[in-house]
Amino acid sequence: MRRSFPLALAAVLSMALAACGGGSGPASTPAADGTTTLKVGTIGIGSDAAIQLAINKGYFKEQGINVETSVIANPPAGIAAAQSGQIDLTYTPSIPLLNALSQNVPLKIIAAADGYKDGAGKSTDLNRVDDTGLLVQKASSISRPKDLEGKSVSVPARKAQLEVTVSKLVKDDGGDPAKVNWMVLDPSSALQSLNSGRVDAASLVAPFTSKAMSEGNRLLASPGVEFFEQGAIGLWVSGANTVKSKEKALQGFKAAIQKANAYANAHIEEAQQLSAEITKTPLDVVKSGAVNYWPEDVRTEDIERANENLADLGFLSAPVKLPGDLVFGK
Amino acid sequence: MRNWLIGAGAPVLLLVAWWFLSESSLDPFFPPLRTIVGRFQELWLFEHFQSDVLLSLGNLFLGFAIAAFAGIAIGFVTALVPPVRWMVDPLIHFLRGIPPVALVPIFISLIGFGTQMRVTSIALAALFPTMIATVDGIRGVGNDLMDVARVYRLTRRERVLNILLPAAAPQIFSGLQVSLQVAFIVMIASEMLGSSQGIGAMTLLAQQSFMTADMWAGILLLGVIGFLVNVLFSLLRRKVLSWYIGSRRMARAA
Repeated sequence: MRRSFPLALAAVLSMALAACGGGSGPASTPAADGTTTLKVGTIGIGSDAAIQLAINKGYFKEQGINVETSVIANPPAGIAAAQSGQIDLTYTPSIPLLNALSQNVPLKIIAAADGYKDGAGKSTDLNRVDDTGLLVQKASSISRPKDLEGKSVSVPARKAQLEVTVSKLVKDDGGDPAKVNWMVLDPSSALQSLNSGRVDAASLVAPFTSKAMSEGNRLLASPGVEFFEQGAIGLWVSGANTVKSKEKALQGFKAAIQKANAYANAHIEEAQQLSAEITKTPLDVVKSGAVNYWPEDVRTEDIERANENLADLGFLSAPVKLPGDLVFGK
Repeated sequence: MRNWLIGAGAPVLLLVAWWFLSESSLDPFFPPLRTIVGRFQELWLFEHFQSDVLLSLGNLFLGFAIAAFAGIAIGFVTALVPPVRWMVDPLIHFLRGIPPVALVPIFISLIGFGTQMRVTSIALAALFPTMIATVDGIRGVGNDLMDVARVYRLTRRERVLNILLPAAAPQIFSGLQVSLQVAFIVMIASEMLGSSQGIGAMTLLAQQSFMTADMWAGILLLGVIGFLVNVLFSLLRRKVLSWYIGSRRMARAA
């Protein structure tokens, strides 16, 4: 209760200031103490640990911003909300972002949310770097991605990250991804269907990958790292209008996230603890899976590689022409 | 005739307004109607007609037919056999409160995610409105009507088929109409999981990959189908219940 008085005062003051301000839009009006509030959509996965660290350690406050997170249903919904200004930033993997850009949805990349360390694709133990996995039953006759032709494979959503990355595996192995029978299933139904043999293979994300392996299934491949190789995958993205109206706050967001990402990489135990809390998963399951990595920067060439792969596989009719200022502050 | 003109005219006016207002739209989420109509033609006439439209409609009608027969049959038994009514009544009111869409994941774990799951979800969701309306309809049949039946010594079969069923028919048809709408909603919801075939699945996929023109085309198609199915149903109702509609008109005129 003791803190409510200054807060109320701040609210009154900010309203008074807003009333005097006149011309400037409500979106860019900072509160009385100079902080701007940014509404951020997350999807509640383990790599959200970094933004949580930035909040807990006060990195955003140092930049004069206040971050409010809310959980969005899926990346496309988050992109729609960010484009319309309902939220200021959203988490999205690069593939939904490229889909949206190909349909002329105006978006800018602000910072990296998760990804792979440089050289991760050459690691010997891919399931320690990749939180996505393609799983089959232990006794399955499927021994390589090409065998998936004519088989049913579960994905969390069509034309999204896992279908795209598994398609690349099949194609690179000499198979035809169009012959795969894709099934949309939420992760827990997918795991159950894999165990009961209703699907021949399941593409899953942490923590379901480790869960599936602990239930005796076999990891066929790590589609994420084989598709992306290295660099930022998960991104913090804003609508072009938000970038115009809140440029300074977004610079602060970017700096705070950079700091938090570096901290998370250096203090992986602390980050995993947070991941376990965010995903409501036992800590040992988190630790047995892939180790998250948080890139400090977004490189256009990493996005471009995903872009070309998408066009190569036919998910885009042609690579999207990426605008020069796609990555904020470059 | 004039009512009919107004009824048909309003949507047409709206469409015309939509066409011109959206003509120069650059908003990726609200493309011009011209683009949407173009995609509508490419998608549904007739490339995906057999593989998706007919598939969805097949599930819809099969599920609805099962729900209609089962609903009327269970409704009759419940209304006519008191012990069954005492047993079933609380259960019905418990089950009908559960949103049918919430049951889809449970059906997946029980019966997989093929056509059976979709038809079962539709049938189960659409069952309750018809069944409850049937029970109400039979309970509302007047005692004098049943007394006459007894005086004429009609058999049980004759009483059910020739007296109860026609007398409860107006209520049963109201129940069927609600069931049809529920079936339509669950048809779309049941396509969100499993193999991505069907109108609902295609529309959802278009939405998630930002193909907004395709999404709007799917929504238009769903609207048109919903409208046509309702028209067909009204025609059927008018045919079957012509005696009832006629008697009501007479009563009003008197």
